Amino acid sequence: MARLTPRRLFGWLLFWLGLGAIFVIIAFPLYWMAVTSVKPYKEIFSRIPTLVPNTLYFGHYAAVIKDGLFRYYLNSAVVSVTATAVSVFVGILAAYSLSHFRYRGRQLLSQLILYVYLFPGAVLFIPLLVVINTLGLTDTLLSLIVTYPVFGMPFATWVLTGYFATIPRELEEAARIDGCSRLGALARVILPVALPGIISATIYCFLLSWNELLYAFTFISSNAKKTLPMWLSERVLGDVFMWGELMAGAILMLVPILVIYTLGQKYLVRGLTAGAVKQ
Amino acid sequence: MTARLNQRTLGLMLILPMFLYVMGMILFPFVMNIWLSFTNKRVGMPTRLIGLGNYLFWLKNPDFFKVLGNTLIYTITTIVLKFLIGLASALLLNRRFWGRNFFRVFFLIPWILPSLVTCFTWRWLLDDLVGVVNYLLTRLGLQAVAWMSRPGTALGSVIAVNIWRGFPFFGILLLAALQSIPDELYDAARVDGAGRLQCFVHVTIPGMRKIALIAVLLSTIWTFNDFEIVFLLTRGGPGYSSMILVPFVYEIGIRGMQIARAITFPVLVFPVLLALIFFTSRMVLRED
Amino acid sequence: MQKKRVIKVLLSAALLAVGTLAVATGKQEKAGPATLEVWLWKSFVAEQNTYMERQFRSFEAATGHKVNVSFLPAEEIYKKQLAAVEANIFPDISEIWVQNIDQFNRMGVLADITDTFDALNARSPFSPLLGTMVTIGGKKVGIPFNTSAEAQYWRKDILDNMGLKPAGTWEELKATAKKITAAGQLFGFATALGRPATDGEKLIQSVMWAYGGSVMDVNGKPAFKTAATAQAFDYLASLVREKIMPEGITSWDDGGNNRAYQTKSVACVQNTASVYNYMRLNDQDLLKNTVIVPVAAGPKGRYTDTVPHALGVSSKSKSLQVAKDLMKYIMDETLYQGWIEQAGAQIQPVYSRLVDKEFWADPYRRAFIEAGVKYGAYEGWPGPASAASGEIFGTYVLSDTIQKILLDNWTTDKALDWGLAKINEIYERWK
Repeated sequence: MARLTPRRLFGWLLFWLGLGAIFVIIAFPLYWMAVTSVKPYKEIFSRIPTLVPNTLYFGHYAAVIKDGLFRYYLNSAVVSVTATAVSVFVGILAAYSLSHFRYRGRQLLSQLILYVYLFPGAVLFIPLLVVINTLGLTDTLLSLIVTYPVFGMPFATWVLTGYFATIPRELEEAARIDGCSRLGALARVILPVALPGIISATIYCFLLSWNELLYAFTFISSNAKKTLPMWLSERVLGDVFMWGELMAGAILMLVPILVIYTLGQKYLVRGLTAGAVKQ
Repeated sequence: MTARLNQRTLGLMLILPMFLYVMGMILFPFVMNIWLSFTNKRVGMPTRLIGLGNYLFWLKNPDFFKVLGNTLIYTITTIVLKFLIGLASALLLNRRFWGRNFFRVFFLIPWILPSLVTCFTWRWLLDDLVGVVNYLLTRLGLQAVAWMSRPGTALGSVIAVNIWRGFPFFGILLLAALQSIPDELYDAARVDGAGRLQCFVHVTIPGMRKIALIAVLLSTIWTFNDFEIVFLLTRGGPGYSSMILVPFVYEIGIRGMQIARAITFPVLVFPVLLALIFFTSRMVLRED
Repeated sequence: MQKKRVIKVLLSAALLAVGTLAVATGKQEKAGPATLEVWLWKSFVAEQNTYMERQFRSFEAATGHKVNVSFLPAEEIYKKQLAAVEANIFPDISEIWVQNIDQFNRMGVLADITDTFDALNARSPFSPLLGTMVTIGGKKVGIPFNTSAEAQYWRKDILDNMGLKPAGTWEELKATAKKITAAGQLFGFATALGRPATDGEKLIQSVMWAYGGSVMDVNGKPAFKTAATAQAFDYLASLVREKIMPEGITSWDDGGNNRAYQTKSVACVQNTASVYNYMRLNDQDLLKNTVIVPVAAGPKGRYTDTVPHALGVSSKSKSLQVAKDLMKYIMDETLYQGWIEQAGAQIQPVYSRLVDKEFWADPYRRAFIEAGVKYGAYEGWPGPASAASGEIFGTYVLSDTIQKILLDNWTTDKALDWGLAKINEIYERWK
């Protein structure tokens, strides 16, 4: 056991203070959300905010589930999973190309795909509806599955390029010397090492689709095809804010993502490079 | 010769399908919007070319410069703070400690929450009469502040909410970057006699450089084009004190239906973003 | 000779065939069951939406046509409508805010439904004010659908304790509110006067009209800068400067007054029936201590912006006649009244005959029907509901003007000049 020097103690204190500060900053609004979701309306609208609920009320969760949350969950899941899978798969190939190959136009291609983000959604949604309508996809989930990767792929490509480009060249060369094809080197060497990056890119890509609201509302009209963010935004209608349902719905939306991310956590560990380069 | 040709072909084959798909979907809207900026189009009305009319309108308009200024303040402040707090968090989360796995998941929550919920929650927290923040302030004996109602603090409020939502984005990306640096590099440095600080400067920072650049680039473009936070919290008010580019474009182009004039504003600002993209791409893709 | 004749005959036959085909596939109605696309505002009162949905199902059962209805929140339905105009897929029937009627009409997407209007009007007369609202160029381009009138809520218990009464005029309101705020427990009156809210635009207009001012004159031309308007703005500014209203109102959204009244931070607010519905469902105690009265009056009368809605039919609808039939079906007086009663006073009927119904005798609802019938006005009043007045409302010109006085400390004169400049610019553009 290391000696407990004042310097170590100070470092340890600084560490826990920093962590604590971040925890409080994040937890403060979250706590308020959670607590609001279990208060009855009369207490939500109390003049003095109650930091601990006087009455526990689970009716908001019941109302939210009764409203058919499961169906919107399914719609969102179908769209997000498909769009993310496509974006990340294509992004891996593209990132490999950008980081490990030389060809003319490489820089230009990498820059052009980012032009997707130059125009804000607030002006893109009208011409995009024209495109979707021409494809005959209005009011279908397919319209979103087709649209979301347009915004997910450039992001996935760039993020993964960053991770792939940081991997030392020797790793791939070592694999190729062993007789791997280039794609084989990708699969066998680069992907395992870049796994933390791939997981981050995947979760971010997924969130882009999972929380997307503007295009969902523009393309989709029927109730049966609504996505979760559309449902959530309807908790606020005009001057009526259904705070209880809004918070309950948000928390229910959060849970599956947290579960999936927790499961993926174990890959966010250093050490996968150990032994990857033969001495 | 054949080997190099094959390499080039394979490289292009790996990226071209994606490129063609993305361009295919976005080309029409993109070109359409640029063309519209040279017209006087309003929603539902016929289009007529007017050359540089919209551009001149904006360059002579004080609102343009105010909104642009706000957007620059908003973007630069939030990016710098998000990056620094994100970096600090990544360094903290990189250490082994009890509860680390829980913390890493917890840490991402502000980024996972839909913006709608984040904004409305903060709206309530910052409410002048019944908000928790003011309640705590008065309990501590301080004055309650109408955060979003004063020109001075309105922009600050939206900046704060943007930082709250956005620093985990940097944190997790930078953490993954930290994780990707092979142990061997640290071992080699220590063999050469490097101490903690030198390891950080000579191994960690170069190892994170590319990801950091990319995170900053993407976040800058997204923050520049941010919409929900300002729209839901203040609508750019009071007056235009917290108005940034996209909510402004939305008000002119959608609520005011002057779509051509509205689109010209982002186009005017393109050069800045294009320059950012250009230089970042060179720095990331160059040979080391 | 023979050949020429044959050619002539063949040519004529071909032309006739083409002509018949053109007529047959042109503006003709599609035979067989039609599918209608209907977009309506989503009400927070669920029963209101489900009742309307049931109407559509019975129409489907009775006629064999299909109705696809979408209930959408306000901001979303407007964005969707704009995008649909550009993509050429405007829905067969949609619910349109009064200020957007002229705008959509100018875009050429609204059909002339004068025949439907007249048929319904003959069965049960529409309120005259709403009839003029949907008339553009002599034609009816919409059917009045509902109004959302405002009233003033007062805390009866606080008034009684202080020996005060609910105000009848704006001056009385200021005096009463001042006394209540001075007592220190809560604010006397509060209303949103900021950009995130439409409440500000509505209240400013209420006061302006009450003092004899208006944004447009009776011909629809800008008449903003008058002594009456200045009086109205001075009045509102004094409510803030004399600290009768809380400082935060300049950033309140539409839920601000609801929140203020429901958390018992304010003794009086002006709002639609949404506050009443909240109390009815969640806080009966507060409801017992509340009295709902018509909006305060000014020297020139009592006015409230009722933000009427109309139903419009797409001019490019492939099933125009079926759409008209559907509208006649749901606007049937009895069925319509049933729908109104589901809404908990949130909306008021457009038929003059329905205002005396038993439903409105309830003391909490009475003020809303009175507002709709006797004191109702809309954006652009006393002029027509024009596209220009719609855009003025939609881009917060009035709220921005009062904020110049409140936050930038401009004189009323300077602020009104600024507001007039904006109004003129918008007016010129839509001329």
